[in-house]
Amino acid sequence: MAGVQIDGLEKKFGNLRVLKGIDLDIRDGEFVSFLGPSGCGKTTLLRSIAGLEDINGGQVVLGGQPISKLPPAKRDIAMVFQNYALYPHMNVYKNLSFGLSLNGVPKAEIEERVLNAARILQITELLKRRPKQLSGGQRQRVAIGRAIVRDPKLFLLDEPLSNLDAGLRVTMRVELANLHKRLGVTMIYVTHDQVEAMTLSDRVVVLDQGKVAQFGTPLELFYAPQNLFVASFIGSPKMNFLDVAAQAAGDKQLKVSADDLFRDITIALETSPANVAGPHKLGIRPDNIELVTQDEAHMSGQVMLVERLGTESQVHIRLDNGEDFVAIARGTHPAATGDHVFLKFPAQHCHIFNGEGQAYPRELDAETRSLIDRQKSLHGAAQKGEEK
Amino acid sequence: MLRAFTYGALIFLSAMFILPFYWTFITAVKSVSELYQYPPVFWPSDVQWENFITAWFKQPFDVYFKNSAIVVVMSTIGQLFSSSLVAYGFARFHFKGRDVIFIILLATMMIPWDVKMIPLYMEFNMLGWINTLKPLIVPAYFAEAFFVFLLRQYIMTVPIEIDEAARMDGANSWQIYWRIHLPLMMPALVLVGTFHFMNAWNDYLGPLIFLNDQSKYTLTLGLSMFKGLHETDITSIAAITVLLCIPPLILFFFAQRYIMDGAIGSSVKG
Repeated sequence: MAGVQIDGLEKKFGNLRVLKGIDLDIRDGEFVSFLGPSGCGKTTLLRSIAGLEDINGGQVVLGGQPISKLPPAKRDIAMVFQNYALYPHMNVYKNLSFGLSLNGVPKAEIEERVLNAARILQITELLKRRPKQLSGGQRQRVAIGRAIVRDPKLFLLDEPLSNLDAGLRVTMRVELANLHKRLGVTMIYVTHDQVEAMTLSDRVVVLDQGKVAQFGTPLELFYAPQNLFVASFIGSPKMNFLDVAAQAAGDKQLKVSADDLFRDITIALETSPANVAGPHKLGIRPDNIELVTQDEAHMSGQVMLVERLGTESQVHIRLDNGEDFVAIARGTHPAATGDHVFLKFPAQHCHIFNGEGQAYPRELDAETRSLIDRQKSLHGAAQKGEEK
Repeated sequence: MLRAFTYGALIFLSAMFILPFYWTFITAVKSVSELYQYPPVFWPSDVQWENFITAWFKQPFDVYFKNSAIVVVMSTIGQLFSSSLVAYGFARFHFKGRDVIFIILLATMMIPWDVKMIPLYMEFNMLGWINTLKPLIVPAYFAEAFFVFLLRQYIMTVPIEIDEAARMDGANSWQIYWRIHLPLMMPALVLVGTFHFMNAWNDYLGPLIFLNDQSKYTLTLGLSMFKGLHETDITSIAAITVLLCIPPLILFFFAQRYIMDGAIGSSVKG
């Protein structure tokens, strides 16, 4: 087992800079996801760690050893590919043992390791089958098994669940989480599915155009996004944004105003803002918007569509200033298309971003703060336990 | 009605194709008296199976057969190995000028053999290979453009992640070729092997130019000489012709599934 340090990693395809100086410190035994939209460089980053892509600058260190110049097989890394990449002409046993036999592992040991991996993944009865005789979930298990038998320092998983149907994806997600707990090995997981990233990971790296937008625990990303990109990328439906002006309002407070707002909003911050000149953006998540009476409202608009999902209703609203907002109301909320509704943006749930798109760290309520701290401390405890 | 017409047309066309083969076969097993009988006999009253043995021993066909077998087996091995290796290179390695070289390789398919005949003769003469089987075997170890194209297309249908997975498992480029791609392209190799086998087995011009001594003759050349010497012995000529058809027919019988799949597959995917 080993941690991974990435320093100033650069990767170009021709003149195109795909990775622009990535710095990451992934701890030993941690489960980290690379999350981002298509083309953000997450798979390239993973492949660069694996050695399948030559890098143009920076370095990768695994367990204290620089590995950037080593060929993939010498890095002590195993990778699970998106399309499984099982050898079609070999049965499951041979798929699992191929790497070991190439590396001259004695036959008896190969058998022991293959059977052990098969037992962990419950594929013992499939060992004589060819990949085409397996279901998607079984193939996925074999692909993971191929990684397990090598007993690597680091697991890399490239969107391993994306080819599975929704039901199986949930099952495999739970199995992956259990597997990580059982093996205790460092895992890096690439996905564009934020539910996978949020549920599986100790920490998530959000990538935007080849740069790290934020690296934090799932709850940090959701409740304390550091910039507009992370705020808009994390969460579904997306966060709503409104152009506003801001001014300091006493110690650690920011007063937000706009022509379209019926009343100002005062947001409590962790620190006093240094410079609040220029345009700002107010962000509020759909589930934090309240549909209220005119007296309490900050804005109003017309309901364009109501999507009834049972437990909740997603209300699509065109504000009086022409902006489109989504609010989440209770499942039985009576709002209907064409209704005029009033919206309240509770200050404690508002996010505020400066002209460069950087967030002012806001003061979180005690419950959220304690949850984030608990997630951090759980991970820290796990780290210390493993170190012992 | 349409169905009846379709079947009728198919039966007619099949008969048109089969008739020459059938006629050669019954000519081979007819007695001399029935051979020139009019109206023609469509099935001999007394099948003369011994005609095959008689014809076989009228010339040293066992020697010709041995030479043909050596040429066909050795050159097929070479063709399969070299074409697949070159195809793997073109499909999986990125190097400067790769695509231009590949196009030049494909362009060599346009050069007719007749044009290459004299330079090849001079080259093999210089090497001292005339009147040996080497000119019929060695060129197959330098790959053929059409087979390279066919196999390259086949390799390109294999996801690159399989190569990468093997590389992560510790395989080098040779091991990826040998242990992953070669087994995976078996259907295409059977197709290439069959095509090459047919070409080599039926090759007449090559042996005619490069071989002088009868002890080096292949079956096609032997049959040609046999025709010259026994021009009126129609039964024996037909018998040897039938015998010559047997190995390719056996090969086609076993390989037809791969040939159909491979030919259709490469045309769709390519």
